[in-house]
Amino acid sequence: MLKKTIGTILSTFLLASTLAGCASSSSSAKDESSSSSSKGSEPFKISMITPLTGNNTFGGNEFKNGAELAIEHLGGEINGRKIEMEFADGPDQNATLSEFERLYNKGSRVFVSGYGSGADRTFATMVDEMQVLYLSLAWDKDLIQGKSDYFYRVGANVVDFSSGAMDQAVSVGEKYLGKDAKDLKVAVVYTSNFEHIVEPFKERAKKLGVKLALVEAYPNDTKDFVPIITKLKNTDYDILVPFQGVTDGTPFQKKMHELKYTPPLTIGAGIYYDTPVFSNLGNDITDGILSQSYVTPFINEEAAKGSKKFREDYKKKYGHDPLTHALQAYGIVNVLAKALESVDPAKWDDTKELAAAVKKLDIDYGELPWYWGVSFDKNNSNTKADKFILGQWNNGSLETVFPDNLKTKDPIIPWEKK
Amino acid sequence: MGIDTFINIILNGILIGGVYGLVASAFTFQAGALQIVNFSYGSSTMLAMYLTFFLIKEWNIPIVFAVVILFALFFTIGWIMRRTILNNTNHGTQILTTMAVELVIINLVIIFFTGFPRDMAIFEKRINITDTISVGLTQLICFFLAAAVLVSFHLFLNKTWAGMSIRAVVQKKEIANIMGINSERIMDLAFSISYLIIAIAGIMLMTMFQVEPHFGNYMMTISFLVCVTAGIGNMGGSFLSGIIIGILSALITTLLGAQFHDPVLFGLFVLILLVRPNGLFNSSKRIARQI
Repeated sequence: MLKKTIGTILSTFLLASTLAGCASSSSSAKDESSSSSSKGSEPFKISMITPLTGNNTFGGNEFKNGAELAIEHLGGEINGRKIEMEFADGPDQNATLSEFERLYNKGSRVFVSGYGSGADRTFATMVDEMQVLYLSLAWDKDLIQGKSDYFYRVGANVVDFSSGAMDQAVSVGEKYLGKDAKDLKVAVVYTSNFEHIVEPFKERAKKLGVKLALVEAYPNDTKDFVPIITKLKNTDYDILVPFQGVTDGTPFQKKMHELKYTPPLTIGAGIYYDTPVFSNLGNDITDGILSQSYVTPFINEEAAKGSKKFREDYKKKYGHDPLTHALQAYGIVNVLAKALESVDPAKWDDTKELAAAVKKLDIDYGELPWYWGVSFDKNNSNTKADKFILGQWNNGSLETVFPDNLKTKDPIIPWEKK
Repeated sequence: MGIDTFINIILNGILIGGVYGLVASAFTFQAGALQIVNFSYGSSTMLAMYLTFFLIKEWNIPIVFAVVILFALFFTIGWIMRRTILNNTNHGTQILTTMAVELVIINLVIIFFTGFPRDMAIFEKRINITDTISVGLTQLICFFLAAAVLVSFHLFLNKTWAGMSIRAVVQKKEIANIMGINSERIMDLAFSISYLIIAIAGIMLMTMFQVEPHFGNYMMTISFLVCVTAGIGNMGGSFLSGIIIGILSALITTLLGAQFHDPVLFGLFVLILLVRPNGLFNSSKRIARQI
């Protein structure tokens, strides 16, 4: 009897709390909608969830800095209305989703990708229903499945990046090794986790007639690289293309150094080979190695408007040279700014109108500091984020050496080890 | 590929395999002799690697003190684990609790040390045997240290009172009790000593490899492979089995390709178990009397 009484009291209490919760959330929704008419004069918030703690802080903070500087360079306002960046910490996918929910409940309706963009695949499936405008830098090929009015991929996609690495190898082969595609022999090593990234590279090689002299897909927990390096030593090839992350790239490069083996030419396919972590291995290992990257801040100043100002002001403000990550964030905020410029500031809070303005953007290569242009296809994927650079490590710096219109230095091929 | 290439590959396999043998020996001692199934074994090894890195590289503690701290810490961890969560003879409970401990260790490492891979930044010197054949100095030192540790442990078990007590308790607990041995205390001691071996293995591995929070999964797999292939409980066999696996692993990658490494190695493992269910170095008569 006592148990029944307690049960009834608890159930009643729970039901009352639930109803109270619903009432309070519906009243707060009302408050929000009633205040939306006066929002035109309030600062316009752009939200970014990026890793500010945890393993990826270096990229997360570069993103934060790049976005902050973009707002500063825009003068903190567009067409008379103030704009502000709002940052939240997303060290992993779950935290990013929680922060997204928190910011959404606080009224945020416009987001740009943070570093890593791990949760963007999930956002792509939910932002239309929530009427949230989301500008993404995620590179998954199948990120946007079907029509979306609110989700835009502004950065490059993995297929372009991966097949681009093969194109870079062929260009270098033709120009510096005197070999056309049919005579070129490429070795590719990668962790089996990157199979989906390497597949377009292999397909491109097949299409161009490039011989893949060695294809080594090692298990992701490989610790001993001696057998793979021994195979490389015994393979006749012109260019080595490693697709690696920190966990395998560092031991692989260290072991090659210990075994005193230097490949004829290495073109690292980004990911790890253009990061400070790779640079920390020391000049003895890194000097001469080429790396394909997204466009970096260190390109020919004539080729991209504002790249020099970005680079110089960034260094002045944050005390170190910007990485490509900072430029990505700076670039995506600038893309959003172009859309904001084309809409009456009083209507910015109408995300449908703002999303339509993003869709209409048509910006040519070189008009923005990150060089990429903007033009969205039917799936809202940017078709003008398809150019990549080749950098070469020299005395701790990554200099752009390819393509010709973006390079700041000529490559040194072959590189003579000191 | 010339003969010198094969010799290099095989030498590399032998040296790495010896360290695998040491890593697996504590596991085989726990599982075979002490009848304790410890699924937090891999993460404990990973923890030893992280602590080695932080004590020496980040906190600049002299190497001798760092080793003493690690030994004391791991001996204590072993003692506490045996007295608390492993004070239960039910293997199902042991598996579940140690799997939970593994998750706790991995997540604590991520919280306190972050998940960023750590590396001692030691560039290994090579010893040239001929112009084309060489071995890594660190690997060579670790191999001989591993062998020395295992021989010392064998001597400890066979020549000291404490070691003989452990053997007595493992072979017949009731008789050992009658003979005045405190079997519970002896089991605590034995398990703590197995954690000392984990600490030694962690220090050695840290000089050779980069560590990240999931490194233990790899070590757990290797230990399981080595231990079962040798025959559970056979510590000498584990060392030999580690060497065999080191060589096989290197040859599979070299001859067939890295993509075939896991399917072929684990396929062979299944085959060995089918042909010799008690392991390569155990006869059915010697099971459970290996130490």
